[in-house]
Amino acid sequence: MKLNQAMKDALKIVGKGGVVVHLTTSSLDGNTNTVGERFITVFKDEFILIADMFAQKTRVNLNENQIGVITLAHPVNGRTWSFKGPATILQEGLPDDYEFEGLKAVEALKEWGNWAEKEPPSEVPPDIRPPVLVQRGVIALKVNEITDYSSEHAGNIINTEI
Amino acid sequence: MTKLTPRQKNWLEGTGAHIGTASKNGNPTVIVVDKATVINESTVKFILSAKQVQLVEKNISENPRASLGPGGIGSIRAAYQFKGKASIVGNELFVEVNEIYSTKPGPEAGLRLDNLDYNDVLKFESSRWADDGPPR
Amino acid sequence: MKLPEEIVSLLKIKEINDTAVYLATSSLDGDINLMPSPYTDIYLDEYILIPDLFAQKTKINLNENRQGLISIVLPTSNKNVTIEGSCNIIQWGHPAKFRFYDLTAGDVLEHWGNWTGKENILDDDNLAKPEVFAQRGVIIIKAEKIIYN
Repeated sequence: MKLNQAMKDALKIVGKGGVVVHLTTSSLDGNTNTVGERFITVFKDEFILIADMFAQKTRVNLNENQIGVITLAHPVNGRTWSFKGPATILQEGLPDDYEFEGLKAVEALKEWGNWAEKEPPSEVPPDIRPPVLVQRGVIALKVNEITDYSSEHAGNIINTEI
Repeated sequence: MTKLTPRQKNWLEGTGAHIGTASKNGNPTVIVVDKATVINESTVKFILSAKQVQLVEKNISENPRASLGPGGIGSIRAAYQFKGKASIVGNELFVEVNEIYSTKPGPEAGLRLDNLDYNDVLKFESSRWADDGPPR
Repeated sequence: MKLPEEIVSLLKIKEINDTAVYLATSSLDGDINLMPSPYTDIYLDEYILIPDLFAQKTKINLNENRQGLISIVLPTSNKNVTIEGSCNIIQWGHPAKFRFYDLTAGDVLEHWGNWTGKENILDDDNLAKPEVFAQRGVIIIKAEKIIYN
């Protein structure tokens, strides 16, 4: 499903330290992994892309169980959103016609395969900036469900296509 | 036995966590709780709303494991992931942490901390971060 | 400990597709992972170096259990040899003075950080030529025990 403008804006803050989300994945037998990610963008309205630089357990999980949850971690400002859907890692070397949930790997990688060049992490404070950006590909999540994670409304579906 | 450091405890208590649980077949669910209490050396307690209990109780009954990533500003400053055994009593979620990882971006991302000597973990933290918890 | 001459010459960079090695690592609770690598080099006759091309389970294991085991087959005798020892990954981003026994991260990355500069990995003659060569660092094993199986 498509993200609305407020969501796209929330996931794309340039400057002021940017935005951080938590990406949760799970092994097939239910061992979850929750890790902060800050190189994020919305692609073609319904995909969230994250630069894959240091993912280890995330990758092992997605290799066997292609699903993920992205929760907005900072800055929140009442935007208590959780995005869930099929997820994978797209890498150079995939066949030219490779598609994931309608997303062409070549298109995503052409635009976001070299994050450091496209969007240098200069706005990230030096003590938390990764020292060298070595990118292997992009993590792609197709948003199929958006829910509220606030304690009061936890789990309520947010419909963006009314 | 895992032992949380003062820095880890301060961040968890101050900013709460994004809490990942999953069904026994690996379907993940995340809830976010903005405060926590560390009740002994390794156990973190979260107070859940009724709706949050509903979201995770089935997962935890069939698969009592959880992963925690610090919330809010902690997601930047407190680059840790905690994993442990989850249980629910009433509206309280307890996570007995048995694995701790550094998720600081860079060469040490993913480094496991709980199996290191406790004093080495304290040294690791003081050499990599200037704070001992969220701003007070 | 120093490795015997035969193993040193076998694992030193000579030409592509010369010797394949397996690197075995283990999680703390004993889940073993075998990673094959067609690329190796030797330093001071004691350290075995392998480019880290985003090894996943290897890195997860080394993050909690810094032991490695190299397994090779000697071409002369067809005998299997294993070399065990302390093992670590030096990555781009480590401080230059970060030390692993006789090696510093600065030296390791300067000399082995871009493996394509040492070995013709991207040549069409390479039977295991990767589409894109993204190197995150260097895996190092210090030889501490050799077993002829």
